[in-house]
Amino acid sequence: MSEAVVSIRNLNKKYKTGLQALKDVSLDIYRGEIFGLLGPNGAGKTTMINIVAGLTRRTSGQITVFGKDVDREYRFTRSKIGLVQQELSFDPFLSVEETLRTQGGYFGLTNTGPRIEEILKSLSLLDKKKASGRTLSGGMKRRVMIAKALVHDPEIVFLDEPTAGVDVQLRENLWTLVRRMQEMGKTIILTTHYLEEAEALANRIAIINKGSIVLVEEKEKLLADHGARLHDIYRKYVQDEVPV
Amino acid sequence: MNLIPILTIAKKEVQHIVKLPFQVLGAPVATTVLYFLVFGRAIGGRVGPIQGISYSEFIMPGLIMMNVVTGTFNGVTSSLILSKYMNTFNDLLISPMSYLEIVLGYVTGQVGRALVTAATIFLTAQLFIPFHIEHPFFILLFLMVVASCFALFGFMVAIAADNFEQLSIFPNFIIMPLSFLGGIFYSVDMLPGFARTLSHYNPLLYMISGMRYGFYGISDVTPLVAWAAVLFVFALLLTGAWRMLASGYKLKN
Repeated sequence: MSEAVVSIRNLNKKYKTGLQALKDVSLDIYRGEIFGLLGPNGAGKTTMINIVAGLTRRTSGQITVFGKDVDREYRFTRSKIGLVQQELSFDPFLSVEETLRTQGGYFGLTNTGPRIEEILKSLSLLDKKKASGRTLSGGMKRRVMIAKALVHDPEIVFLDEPTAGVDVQLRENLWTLVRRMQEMGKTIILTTHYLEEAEALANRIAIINKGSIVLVEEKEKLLADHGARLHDIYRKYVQDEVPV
Repeated sequence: MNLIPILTIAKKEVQHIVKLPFQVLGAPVATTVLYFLVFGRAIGGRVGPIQGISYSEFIMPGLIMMNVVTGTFNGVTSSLILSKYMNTFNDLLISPMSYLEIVLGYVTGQVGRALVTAATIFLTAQLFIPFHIEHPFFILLFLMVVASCFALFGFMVAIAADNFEQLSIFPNFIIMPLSFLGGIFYSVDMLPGFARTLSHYNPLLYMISGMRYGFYGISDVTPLVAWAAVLFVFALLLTGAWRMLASGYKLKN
């Protein structure tokens, strides 16, 4: 087993509304893997990712990234993480290139030009470099968000439902990109509603339901042990929602 | 303290001057010209000199200050609430920046914007009054601190606000009245006793008076008192904005 790059121990999150979004979650994510996090809407996937990235506060529990606490040593841990959020976000006043330069600046980087060119090329966005975010299609905006998450060359990339609402062609392109990121040595944590996506990409799969992790297993072992498709396994653990 | 992220936010804020020139510079210039025509020429001719200078000269520092404080406040609030709506503020929260660096980034950007606004209004004013600056470095430093105060105030308001409607309360019902009652168009010495005493509780009085001292060496309050007042307000607002962001209020669940 390789080194755990993200370690979550006894993580709990209770919102002010009283909703217990995460219940005693413990999880290790290992270097270089694609980790598929599955679960129905409201299961706690985004809450967990947001707590690790620094967007949501935990109620209790420990989270370390490369052995460092995400709150106490946030400068180190955040520099290692790239987050692609579920919601599209862009600054209407900035071009694609300016958006990426600005993002690099937030991470203390200058002279990001060559890296930005490389990322835009790999995401087939080079010809949109000077375009304003307002003029891009939904799929392009999604790719710009991935580009933003990669500017500072993070070792861990969280992809929160990156293919939600995108066409088949773009989904396949994004799958290729995810595999390429893994080849580059990055650790990918992918949340998705599409079981075929997890089946195609993930090395390990976790299912979260009502705030609790109900299954964590190597994908190959999971499929071999259960002798079934991921769809059937998912339905066994999450009975109240039919997956895609 | 990492300067690159601070300057990155500042650059993004200052760029709004280029992206929105009519809103950022055009509108203050147009209203300044109107004030000079109406108050300076039409009414000022009948008012006569105040504290040894013409009425048009007397109102110029206050007009600069009024545009700086409203422009700074509106600049930071519109930028920040837009980034809350567009989810781009999260880009800052997931970055390795400290909360203080985020606050200073916005403040630095608004100070840059305020200096450009002030210079533009001053140049516009030269169409109506003779060139005169008594203490240029005083003006520069004083403007920077006052702009910082309103950037910090706007920062806190924008974090707390849920919509644009709530934002509009402050410039229209607080900043503008305090500016007008802070001695842009009159010296507080002209007021009756009670109103004069009350005026000294208005922070805009110290800001406008300090500005007038910088240009003409005259003031309703001594420069030392003006400095003490703005530095006190600055320290209070900096602490408030920093702690508010660190608390995650309205930003982090």
